[in-house]
Amino acid sequence: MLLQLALTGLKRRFKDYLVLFSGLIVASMVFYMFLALAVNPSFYRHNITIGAAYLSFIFGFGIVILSIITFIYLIYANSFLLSMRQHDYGMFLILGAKRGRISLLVILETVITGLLATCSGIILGLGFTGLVGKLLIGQLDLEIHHFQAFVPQAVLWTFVFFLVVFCLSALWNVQKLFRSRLLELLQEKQKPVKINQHPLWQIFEAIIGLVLLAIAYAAMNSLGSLLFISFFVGFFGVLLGSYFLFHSFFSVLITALLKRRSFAYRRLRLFTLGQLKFRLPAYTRILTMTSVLFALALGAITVGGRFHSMQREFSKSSYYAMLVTQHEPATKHQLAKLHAPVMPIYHYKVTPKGRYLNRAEFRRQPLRGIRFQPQNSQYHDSQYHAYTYPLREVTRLSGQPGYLLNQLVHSTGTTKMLSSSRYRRIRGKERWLQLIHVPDLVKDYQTIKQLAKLEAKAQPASKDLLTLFGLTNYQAGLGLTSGFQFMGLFLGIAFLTMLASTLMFKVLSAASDDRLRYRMLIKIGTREQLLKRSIHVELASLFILPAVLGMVDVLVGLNMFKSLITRPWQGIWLPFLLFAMLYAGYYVLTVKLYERSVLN
Amino acid sequence: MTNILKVDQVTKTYGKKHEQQYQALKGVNFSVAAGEFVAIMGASGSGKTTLLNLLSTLDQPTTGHILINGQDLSSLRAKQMADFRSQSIGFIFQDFNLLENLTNRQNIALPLTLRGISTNRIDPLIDELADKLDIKAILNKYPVAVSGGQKQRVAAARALIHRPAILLADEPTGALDSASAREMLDTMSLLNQRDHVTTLMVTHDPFSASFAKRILFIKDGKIGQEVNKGVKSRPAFYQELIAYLGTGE
Repeated sequence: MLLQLALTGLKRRFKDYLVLFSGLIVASMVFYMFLALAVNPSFYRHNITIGAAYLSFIFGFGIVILSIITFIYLIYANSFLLSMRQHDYGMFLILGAKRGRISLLVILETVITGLLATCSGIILGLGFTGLVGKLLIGQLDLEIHHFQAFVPQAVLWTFVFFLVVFCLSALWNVQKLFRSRLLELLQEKQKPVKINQHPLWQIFEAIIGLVLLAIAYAAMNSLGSLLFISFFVGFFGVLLGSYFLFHSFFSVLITALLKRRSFAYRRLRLFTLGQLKFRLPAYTRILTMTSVLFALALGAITVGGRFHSMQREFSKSSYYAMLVTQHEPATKHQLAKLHAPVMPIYHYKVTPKGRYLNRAEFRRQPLRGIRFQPQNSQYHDSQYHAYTYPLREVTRLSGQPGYLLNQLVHSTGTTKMLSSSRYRRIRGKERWLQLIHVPDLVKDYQTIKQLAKLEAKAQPASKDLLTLFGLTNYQAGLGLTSGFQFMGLFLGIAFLTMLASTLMFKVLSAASDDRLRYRMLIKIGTREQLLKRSIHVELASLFILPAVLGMVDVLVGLNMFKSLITRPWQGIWLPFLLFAMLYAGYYVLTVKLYERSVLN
Repeated sequence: MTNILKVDQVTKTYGKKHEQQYQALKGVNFSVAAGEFVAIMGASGSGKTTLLNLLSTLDQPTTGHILINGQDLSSLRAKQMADFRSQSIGFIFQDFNLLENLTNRQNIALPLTLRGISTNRIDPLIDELADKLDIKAILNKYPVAVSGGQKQRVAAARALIHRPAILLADEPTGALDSASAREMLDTMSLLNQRDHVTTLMVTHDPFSASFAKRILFIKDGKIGQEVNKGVKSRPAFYQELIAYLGTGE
């Protein structure tokens, strides 16, 4: 009988269970994804060549943060589970079930729901880790080694963490059930909405929130002097500051708007503001988490993206990307694929006395080099200027092209540059080499890589010389930054998934209660269009507020990465834009699901 | 007198063709004149709620026509239907249906803001009606902080603030204690007599129904007997009702 009742309850609130279950799955999936990197030391030993100690600290700290966030999320999800089942438990008690039996049911339900979600989350996490990893490595041409989707320790730790939290939650649910009176269980839904605390206390809280944020931002700005303390002060300051801000500051703001009759007495604004006023304090924890997750996700993607643009800088550090000394069909085929290349061919003759170049050739197609001009500003890349190499310098060993030529010709003795007539008179075998410059090495990377392979195969002797070109510089840069870039983007995507699911979960879990309000508004003649607009504004506020706070967190927090990356704010609009598009996608999805839930 | 409401041969059938169908209303006919206070009485399952849903434009009849203030409801589209509800109909529900996240004043203001009434005019209109309904002192409180009777008077204010053509009341005293119920019914009666508010109340309670001037009995989806109060006192009318119900007709 009890089982039948339990199943009926599940069927009745299938949509709510679906929301709860998908929320839990995403939480465990993200937790696994993070651990798959964090507890895989061979990954960062092989991919991170700078700041490894710094990184293991960041990961340690990351695990603590993610555990706190996941813990809060799970506690919230469990109280949602209990609120869904409370009425049914009350019914079981009326039917004569003993409290001990009900407790067992609560524990079993909570733990089984948790375990099912965790296992599904880990399996999805495995797949998602593999997919995201493959996509990132493939799409961004990252030089990543020892990355694996299946990390046994990560599976174990995710499982243990979730099991422990679900057991604790189950015990918490049981003791709450024991403390509640039967009538309270049956009438849980009819509990009135709590009215906000005293306005003065709200203003006080709002000020505390602002002060805490200011302290946190100052700490993040002083990584140099405070070292790791600034992480703790920064993180917890942001966490508490955001909490107070959401708990009070925005409520104060909305109360002020509600008092402005000329603003509030228009169409459904009263209702929208009323919804927000009561939502914000109830959403405090979730909005705080969202803003922190937003900051973490956006920060990770920004830092990852910044490493990516640093790779571009590496690609600009040499003028010539590659050289070829043969025109075999395969090489010709690859050369034809290059985008707007400059490919001068230089001839030379080698005799026992030395090597000879044709001056006319160098006049016609001058050798070019790159001059590096560092920038002092935090907001611009260093400038790489191409310049024409002076003719008299070509044969000197010190200059880049001269050194290159000397190496290429690989003979002893002097190098001489002769007029065309004198050059023609030199007896010796003439050879040639072709230098390749492309405006965008990143774009032609695959083709250049192929050319290098073909050249090394055709001329094994000159294999080492190939390392003198732009391709090698760029590949070195890739190796140096790929690990960070991969981690940044990977974790950013993981955090973004969790962030969206957290907010969506909270909004949708309240939908069944909100449905009544919308029904009432429909009854008194509110147009559907107006209701939809109210929903859009209300949910947009819930999405935008933590986003704005999260963005400020990121802009300030990037200070902490100054030691790892140059000019962390440069080109920041790109990751912000990409992130905004993804975030907007989640907003639209949540709005559509919510509308279907409350208006149909 | 002009008819505010006219219900003409209305039927309502639930269930699709080729499935088992259930006819909740089987050709209902009646009308309510301007300034009348009519009660519709019936037991559970008699078709009361179905009829009220049709009158309030929340549902459409299978056949037949409903006219409110001369407007045939079947000719309205969804948008017009919503506008019509917000302009011509006032609702009082059994469980108040107040929005607990708005103060009582804001709850009452809603129908006016929906109609786009000038923001300066809203508060004076609320204050005037609150005076009549004796709820001025609780206007700035939230619904949760006032008694059931007061909540229902706030709901009445919200239903009447935009001067609708007809007030539809669905078991308005169902969630009230006897004293509050009495107060609410007196208020509705007063509004009808003094301000000529046309009222249609659906109820199963003879005491509530005795406050109306005319009672229509609905049974198995049809309007049966009709009882008029005439010049009788309310207690006498109530006794007559009890006697009528006692015969089981």
